[in-house]
Amino acid sequence: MLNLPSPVPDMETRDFWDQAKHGVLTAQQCQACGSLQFPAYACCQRCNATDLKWSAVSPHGTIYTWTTVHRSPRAEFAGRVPYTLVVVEIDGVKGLRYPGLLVNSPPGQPKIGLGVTVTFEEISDGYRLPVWRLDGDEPESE
Amino acid sequence: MWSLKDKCIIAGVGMCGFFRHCDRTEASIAVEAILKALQDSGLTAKDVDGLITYTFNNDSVRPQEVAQALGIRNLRLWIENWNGGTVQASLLAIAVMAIEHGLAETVVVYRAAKHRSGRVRIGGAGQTADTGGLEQFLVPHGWANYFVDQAAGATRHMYEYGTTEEHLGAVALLAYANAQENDSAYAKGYGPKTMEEYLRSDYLAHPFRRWDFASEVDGACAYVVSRSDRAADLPRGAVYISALAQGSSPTLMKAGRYAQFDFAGDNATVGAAAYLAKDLFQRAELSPKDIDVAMIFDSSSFAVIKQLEDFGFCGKGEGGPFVASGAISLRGKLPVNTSGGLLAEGYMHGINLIKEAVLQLRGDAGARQVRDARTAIVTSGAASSLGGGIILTRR
Repeated sequence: MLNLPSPVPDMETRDFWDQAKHGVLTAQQCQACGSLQFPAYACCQRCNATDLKWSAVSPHGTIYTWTTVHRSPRAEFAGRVPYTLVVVEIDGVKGLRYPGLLVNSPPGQPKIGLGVTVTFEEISDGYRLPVWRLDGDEPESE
Repeated sequence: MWSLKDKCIIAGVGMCGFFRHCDRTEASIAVEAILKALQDSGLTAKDVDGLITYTFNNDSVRPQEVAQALGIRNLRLWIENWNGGTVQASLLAIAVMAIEHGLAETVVVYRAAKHRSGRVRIGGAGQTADTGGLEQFLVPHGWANYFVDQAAGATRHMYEYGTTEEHLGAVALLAYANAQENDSAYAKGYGPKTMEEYLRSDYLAHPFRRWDFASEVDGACAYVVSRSDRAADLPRGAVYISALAQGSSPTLMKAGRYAQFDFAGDNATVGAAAYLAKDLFQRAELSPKDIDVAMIFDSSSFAVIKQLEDFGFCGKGEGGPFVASGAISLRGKLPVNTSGGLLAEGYMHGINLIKEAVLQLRGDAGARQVRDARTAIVTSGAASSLGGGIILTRR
């Protein structure tokens, strides 16, 4: 379990977090044109339809970019530094990108283009946070 | 010709600070900056009938309060805008359009904030974890302030174009060097002096070090907009508002209260500047090579590199070598951020860049003066996917 603050979902995002609790990564999918988008938007960015559903996407992606936070002024994160945040592009859906924690950072710097897979870590209040693990690494035992 | 070109002028500028810590209220420091700007323009509060301000998360002082303090008899225009530094071009546009159409005659644009000592801090200190809205997807991971976004953007640019930490350092070192010639700068007497010193300092969010971020300060800044027919009355000369433009990337960022996520499309490496540059230069009837001095919105050192590329001062991906070449130093061919900018004069969301452009064009920049400065560009937030640009000229 990671000691991280829980999200505060709204009506439109509740299902994202419910599916995350079941280990499923989702994006908003437009029921009219099929377009996928993330994070949540009020309507389809492509066709402006408002019927959007959170649909499963591939749990695999590649690192589009990253940063490593070495200092945080916020108490919740100060004790965790250094930690690495990545922007992950989902395999097969160009431009569909997720921000998230990289939980098994290598020594040295992460490399753009490396493959990652989502994993769902329990945080506070029963939420599971979709975070990322570099492919080719054994998952650590708890 | 653009219908608003040179119809209005910036008649005066004023500043209060900038300070590491100021115990006075935002209202007090705003009024001081405004009164200085009015004095600089040969006007008084009695002449003011328009007040425009902007905030970042509600951190300024409202026009009504300023109007009351100044004893303004008939306030005919009052505008408060959020969105921090991206809105500057639009605020100037509102002032120009209002004056041109007789809605107001003398408009003061001001900004006051206590970012360092007050309740709203850009770096996120002092804020409790706000994890609703966009933040629900960012903050639980520890993606908790605006600088994280810019740092990750810089990483992508380094990957695509080979930009290096030394390139970032070149921007930061120049900012702090310029600030030493500026009595208003927060960083006067402070800051890194050599590349070794810069590279030795710790990362805050890779690749950024403390020197790569705009500096939180307390302070205020104001400028006065009038019709161009007032130009002859001004003892220090008039600065003409020759062009304004705003624009966005086709894939806008998601912006929350404390953090943003700006990685759609090519936003990491190409900002709003690329989408508005053509309008801006066309309206001014100028091209990048005509610009004598450039105030580039430096929320980070990387933001300068990105915008120099996107406004066309150098090719895409060449911003790093360009800033390292000496071209942007005070004696270079395109001096940038001669006051120290947001990095080292202080992060007042860009209004102080307008101030510095005016001083340069009037020949009032003292030890920082660029010779024969007749045209200036000021950018507003245009490294992100939303932003603007302003071109000011001197006849």
